[in-house]
Amino acid sequence: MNNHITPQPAHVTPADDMTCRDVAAFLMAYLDGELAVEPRRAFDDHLAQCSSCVRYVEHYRRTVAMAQATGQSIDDVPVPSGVLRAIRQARSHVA
Amino acid sequence: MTEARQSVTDSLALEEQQLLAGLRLRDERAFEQFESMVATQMYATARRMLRDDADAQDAVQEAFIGAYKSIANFDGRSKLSTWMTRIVINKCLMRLRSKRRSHEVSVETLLPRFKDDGHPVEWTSHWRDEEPGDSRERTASLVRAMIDELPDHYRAVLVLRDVQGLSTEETAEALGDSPNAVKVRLHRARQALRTLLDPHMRRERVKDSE
Repeated sequence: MNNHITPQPAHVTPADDMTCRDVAAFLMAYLDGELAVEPRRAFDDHLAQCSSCVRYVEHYRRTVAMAQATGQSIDDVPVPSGVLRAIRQARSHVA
Repeated sequence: MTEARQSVTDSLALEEQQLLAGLRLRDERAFEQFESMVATQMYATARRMLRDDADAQDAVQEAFIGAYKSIANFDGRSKLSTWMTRIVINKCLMRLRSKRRSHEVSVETLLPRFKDDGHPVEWTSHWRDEEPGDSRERTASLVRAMIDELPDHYRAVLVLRDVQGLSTEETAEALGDSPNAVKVRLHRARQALRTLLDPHMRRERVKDSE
C-alpha cells in the first residue's frame, strides 16, 4: 500500500501547489512562523479551500494546548523523603 | 538584550558556575542546593515518562547517583538542570526498554495517511467543542493516558517540549539530538497524539453519552 508518508524535515521547502499531505507535513513550521512568504501563502490558499485541513490544523492546535495543560494540572509532588535520604547516603559512598 | 537582563543572565550563570564548582569539590551544601533546586522537577519528568511512582523514584535515585559520579565529566556548556534532565530521561528510557511494552505501536501507524494524489485516506473528523472548566481534569487525565500510549522516544520529546515547556534547544540537549531532529520528532509526536485523541474527541461520541 502506498498511502502513507513520512513528514518532511522542517527545513525542506514545500511545493507551490499544496496538497493535504503538504499541510500535514509543514503544519508545525507554519504555526511556528517558519515558512517563507510564498509557501505560507500557498498554505493559506489551501486552507481557504479545504475544510478537512482547517479541522486538522485546529485539532493539532488543540492537541498541543491540551498537552501543555497537563503540565499545569499534574501535581509537582516533592520527591519522597526516603528517596532523598537514599541519595544522601549513596553520595557519601561515591568516589 | 537589555543591560538589566544581561546582568540577570550573567548573575544566574555565575551562580550556576559556583554551584558546579561546589559539586565538583563534593561540598555538602552544594549537593543540598542542587537537590532542592532540581529534585522535584526531575521527579515530575520521571513520573511523566514512567507513569509509576515507585519506578520514577528508583529512576531519580539512580540518576542523582549517576550524576554525582560523572560530575567531573560535565563540561558546563548546558545548564545543570538540562544535563540532569538528560540523565533522568536516559534512566527512564533504560527502564522502559527493559520492560519492553508489548503493546507499543509504531509511530508510523499513528501518522495521517495519504493517497498518491496527496488527498487524505480519511477526512478529518469533527471534534466536540471545548468543554467548561469542570471537566478540565477529566480531559487532562485522558490526554495523559494517550501521551502514555506514544512510543517512548516520541513521548520523551513531547513531555519535555510541550508538557514541561523546555525550549527546542534545551530539549535537544536533554535528549542528545539536534534541534532539527527534535522538531521533526515533536511534530510526529503531536500528530500521533492527535490520532490517539481523535476517537475520544469526536462530536458523535459526546452526543452518544448525553
